[in-house]
Amino acid sequence: MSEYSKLEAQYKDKECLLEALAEMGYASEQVEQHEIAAQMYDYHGHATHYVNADGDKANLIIRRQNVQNANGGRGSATNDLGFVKEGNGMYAPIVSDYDSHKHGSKWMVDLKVKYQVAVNKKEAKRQRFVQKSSKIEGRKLVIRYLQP
Amino acid sequence: MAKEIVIEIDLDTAEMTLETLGFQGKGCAQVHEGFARANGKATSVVRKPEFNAPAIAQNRLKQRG
Repeated sequence: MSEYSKLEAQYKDKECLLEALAEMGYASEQVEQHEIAAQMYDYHGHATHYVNADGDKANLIIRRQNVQNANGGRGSATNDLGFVKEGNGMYAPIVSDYDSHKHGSKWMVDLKVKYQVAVNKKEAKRQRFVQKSSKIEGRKLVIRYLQP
Repeated sequence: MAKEIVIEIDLDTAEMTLETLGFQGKGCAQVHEGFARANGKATSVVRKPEFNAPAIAQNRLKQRG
């Protein structure tokens, strides 16, 4: 099933979102960037209209040939994966039902963690803090910054 | 005491908390505000007794004046 769903917008900083996507296996050259949201396509190459009657559109798009499938490969029988910029400036993921096996809630949490790491690193640098340590304690990633 | 920020991100939920150490007064709030703004929403804020230290001193000065 190729139906798309739009999830809660959680990403404000495009640069950090691209950095997080790269950490998740989608290098920046695999992510199309569109100032004006562009059409998304399903695995048949057909334009989709699940989220938006005028066509499912996104500002950041990973085309289906680059989308990782549940078996770890790329492209076969997958649909475009996108992030649409909302009116509030936040990016919301648009994921097809089919690809939610690979890009489901666990993948979204991992992406969010990597996004937060990138955002906090950028903000810490802006506030002139330097990273002292980063380690996993139990089920938490603990990052310490010092102001020299 | 050096100023330190400790960020904890839950790997199962991506919930984030931020703790500041060695700050007093508004400097602590400014750090929190910066990170909250960068993250696009409020992080969990736990204020410690140090947060009010300069404010109390300032109030006392005002009362004396």
